[in-house]
Amino acid sequence: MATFEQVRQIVGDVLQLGDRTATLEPDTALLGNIPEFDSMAVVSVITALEDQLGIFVEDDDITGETFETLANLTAFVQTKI
Amino acid sequence: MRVAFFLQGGAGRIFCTGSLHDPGGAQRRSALIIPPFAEEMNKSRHVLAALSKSLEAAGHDVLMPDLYGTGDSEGDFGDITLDIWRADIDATVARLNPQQGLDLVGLRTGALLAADAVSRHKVGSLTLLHPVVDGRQQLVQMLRLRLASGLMGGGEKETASQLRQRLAEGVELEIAGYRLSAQLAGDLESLALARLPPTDVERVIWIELSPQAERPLMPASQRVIDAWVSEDIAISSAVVTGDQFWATQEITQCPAIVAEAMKLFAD
Repeated sequence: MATFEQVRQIVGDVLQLGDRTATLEPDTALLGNIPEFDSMAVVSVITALEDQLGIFVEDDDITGETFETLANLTAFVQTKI
Repeated sequence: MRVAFFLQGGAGRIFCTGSLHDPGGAQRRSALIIPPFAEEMNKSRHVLAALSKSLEAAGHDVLMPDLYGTGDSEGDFGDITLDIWRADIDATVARLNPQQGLDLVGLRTGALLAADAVSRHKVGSLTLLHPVVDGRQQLVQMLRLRLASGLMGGGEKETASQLRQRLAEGVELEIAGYRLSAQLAGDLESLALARLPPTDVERVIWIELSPQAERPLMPASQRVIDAWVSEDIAISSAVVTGDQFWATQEITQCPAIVAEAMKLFAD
């Protein structure tokens, strides 16, 4: 089971947030809020989730909501495991 | 001596950097470094330059080409084909004129191209730096980039299947400023390490990067390695801790991967 903690760590690593990683909460907005979260970052986060959690993401399942908050992203990942 | 020059490649002049020594001097091994795909190449320049210098210091002649349609070489990204890139790689090998052995080093999709080149040259060692195990992954990543921009922009939502359909119809896609032709998309999909076992090289060096310490190789990599080992291919592998510099927001150095590559090289 992917935990919120794992997803937060992966997002923080990919965006190189450093100490800011620990300040991310489940309801922290991602897209449109974190300046580093551009389209390239979306791709890197999906790839990192796949590589590190061993999941396979079907691209057509991804919507804007998936990346709205960290909680949404965690819930999305949990449906893939 | 550090060099930078243009070389006639498969479809135009390609820009090469590296270091070459006087042919009359001490005999040196040759190393060819093949960079990764599209934006990953821009982000990797510093690391590959550091690797090139380390290989030179270890006694290699080294060349790293900007393949056709990339970097400072001639050609447009939209006109790239795998066969042009193969010819670019072969022209660079010819320029190195390896007398004392040729080592191939590739990063990400560059590693796929290096494995693909093994059948055309006599290769000593093949070094795969965080290889893209299957070219389809690189294509998926490109398509995702386009889909992700859709997520940000509002507008009409495209789907991955629609994009694939358009490529299948021969339509090129513009993705983050890169023109991806149907030809190149198909060429990428045709490359997979599982289908390119380097049975004729002396040894393979396989290095991955992980943001967390003490991680195993990725499952997809381990599967290929297991298959190659069963074909009696000698492989040294390592997982190095560090940021995936070809994808990070900021340009990052990665001394750890250079050090690990040089260490395994020296073994």
